Parts: sequence; C-alpha cells; structure tokens
Amino acid sequence: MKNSSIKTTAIEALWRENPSLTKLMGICPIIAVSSSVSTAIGLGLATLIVIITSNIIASVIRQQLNSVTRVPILIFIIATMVTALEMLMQVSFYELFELLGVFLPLIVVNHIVLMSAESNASQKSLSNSVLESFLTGLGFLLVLVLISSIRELIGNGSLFDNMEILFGSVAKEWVINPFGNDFQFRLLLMPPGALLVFGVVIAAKNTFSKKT
Amino acid sequence: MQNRFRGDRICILMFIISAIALLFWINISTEKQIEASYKRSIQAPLLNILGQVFKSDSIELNPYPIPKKFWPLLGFENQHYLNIAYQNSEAVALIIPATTQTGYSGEIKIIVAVSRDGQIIGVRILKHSETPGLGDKIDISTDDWILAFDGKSLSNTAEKSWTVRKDGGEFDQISGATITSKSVISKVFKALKYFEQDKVHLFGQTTPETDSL
Repeated sequence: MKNSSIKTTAIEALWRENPSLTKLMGICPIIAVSSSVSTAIGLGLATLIVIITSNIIASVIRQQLNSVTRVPILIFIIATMVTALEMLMQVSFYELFELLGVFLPLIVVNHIVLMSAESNASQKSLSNSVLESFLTGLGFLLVLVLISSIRELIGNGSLFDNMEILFGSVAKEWVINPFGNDFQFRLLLMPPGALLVFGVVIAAKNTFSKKT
Repeated sequence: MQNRFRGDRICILMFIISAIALLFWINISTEKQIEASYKRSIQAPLLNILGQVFKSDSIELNPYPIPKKFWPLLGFENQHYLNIAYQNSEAVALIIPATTQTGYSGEIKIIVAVSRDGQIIGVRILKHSETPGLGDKIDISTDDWILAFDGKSLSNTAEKSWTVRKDGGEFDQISGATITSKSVISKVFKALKYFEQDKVHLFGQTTPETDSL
C-alpha cells in the first residue's frame, strides 16, 4: 500500500467513517466503561488486542474458510482470543479486570470486532488486514478516550485518576484536578451522562464533517 | 454436496480442538498466578486498614471459616472466611466480613477490623451500588463518613446509640442517604456482636481484660 493511501485509510477509519461515531457500533462498552479514562483505556486496549490477533488468525486461515464456515469460525476465534486475554489480564492487571467486569467478556459480541474480522478475512492480505484492524481498534480506543476524558473531567473534576491500575505505581502522580479538589458534576458519571456526552460528540463530529 | 459439508465439519472441529488446546494451555500456565493476584487483591484493603495501627509488613493474615450459626448475623448464606491478623505469631486483630441487603440499592459488602479488646480499628466498604453523590459517601474514596466508626466498641457505645443521630444514635446520617447509613451502622454493630460471641474461639484464650468487658 502506498503512503498516501495509508493516510486516506487512516483518516477514513479513525475519523470520517469511525464505526462508533457514524454507525453507532459497539456503544454499549462506550456507555458503560467511559466514566474514567483509566478503565476506558483498559477496555480500548483489550479490544484493540482482540481485533488485531483475531484478524491475523482470520487472514492466515482465510483460504480454508467458505461462506458456510466463515462466520461461526470467526466468532469462535474472537471468543478464544477474549477468553485468553481475560486469563492473561488476571495475572498482571487484576484490578483492571475487576473494574471492567462483564464488559471484558462482552468484547466477543462487540460488532466492530466481528465486522473487522469478516471484511478482512474474506479478501485482504495479512499486512493489509493487520493495518486495517489496527486502525479500527484505534478508532474505537480514541472514541472511548475522548468520551471518558470529558466525563471524568466534568463529572469527577479529575483527569487520569487511578491510572496505576494500568501503568503501575509510577502513574499515581498522573492525576490532575484542574478545577480544584471538590469540583464534581455527578450527572456525567451516571449512565444518562454517558449518553449526553456521546450525543454531543456525535453532533460535534457531524457539524465539523459537514464544514470540511 | 455431502462431501463439501463433511469438509466444513472437519474444518470447524479442527478449530474447536486447537482453540481448546490453546485455552487449556493458557489456563494451566496462569492458574497459580491468577490465584496469587486474587489473594493480593482481597488482602490489600485489609492490610490497608490494619496499617493505620500496625506496621503492615509485620502482619500476617490467616483465614478462618465463620461458623454456620453466625452466617445470618453477618448476612451470609454460604461459607465465608474472616481473617485473623498475626503480629509476631500473636493474634492482634480480626477482620470480619459482612454483607447487607438493606441498603438503598443492592448489596453492600463491608469489612470490619476489630482489635483484640473489641475496639473497631476501621470499617471499609468493599462493594456497593449506592447512588453516586449520595449513598456512595459510605466509600472512603468519596467521603470520611466511614471513619466515624474508628475506636467504637460495644462497651463504649450503648446498643441504642448504634444508629443515626436523627433516631437518637451517635452517628451522623449522610444527608439524602439515611437508609444507606442506617444499614451500614446496623451491620457494623452486628459484626461486633458476632465478635463478642465468638471471640473465645477466635483468639484461643482470652485475656482477663477482654473477659471483663
């Protein structure tokens, strides 16, 4: 793939055609775990890993698949990857594992993952499939980070709180409280707040896209 | 036609077998580490409370099964374990788990650390789903309310004082979350009751001072 076309694909996947913002795919985890940046990054990275690994496997074995076996086997691969990730995460990120709770196994039914695996498994070569799945996962991660930053900043008055569950004790110092310690606007931390922020982000994206 | 489907079946079967093999291998190679991190995550809040009074690196926690007749008192329906904290191989404190369903929404899981003489070292909420902004002030990460229990015991606080001030008790109610505060207070009281009834077993031999309480 040429450099210029990589750039176009990247803009397409991360912004213009971002599946979370344009097709509202996979919004269940976006609503549920976006109350703090740390859990959002955790789930975003987990989803990214699952998308990339299942895409690699799907693209390696795509010659063996036909229209009958493709979807069940892809779901099977994704479920295997999620289960493996779940066990590995418990080894070194146990707190994160507990915070993500049911949303970690729910990556299996995240439509973005299956969609990406299906479109790549059917026609693309290994390197293209890795690139595209990386961009898809990154797009999902970025939306999560964007929404969770807004929610944590306004809802809890902090940013990057509790990052030590991801990066170890060095990250304890990363938390910033730009509005002082007592600022809180709890509505945004509750589920309705997630929908409000999500709606505002989509509206902003639509307005911005129309202009350019 | 039949042959094609047979091929599919074999193909799917091969995938299932290799996936099971992979997961099995990951499972056995991570099992021990997962257990260790589970134990660490369970013990971290306990050591954290005890750290206020004892040097936490000299503390060792030993689980002890709660006798069945006390399960209803602590709110349990199945076997749970309390932790006995040892310092220099002497039992110095207990960490009693308890759970209550009488909160505003869902279960509240509590741990109560009690020293040998029956005084509360600290109370913490392990898990709750109370309303953010109101009932969640029982959690130490949002409010200091839970620290009001420190130093209380059955002997220095009469039974009728174990409720919120509005009802003539000794504890502040969290405004807007009286139900939550009441249920936590009454559960902590029950945990102390349990301690009172079972301390002979828990500490082996009781010292004269604790007998006189």
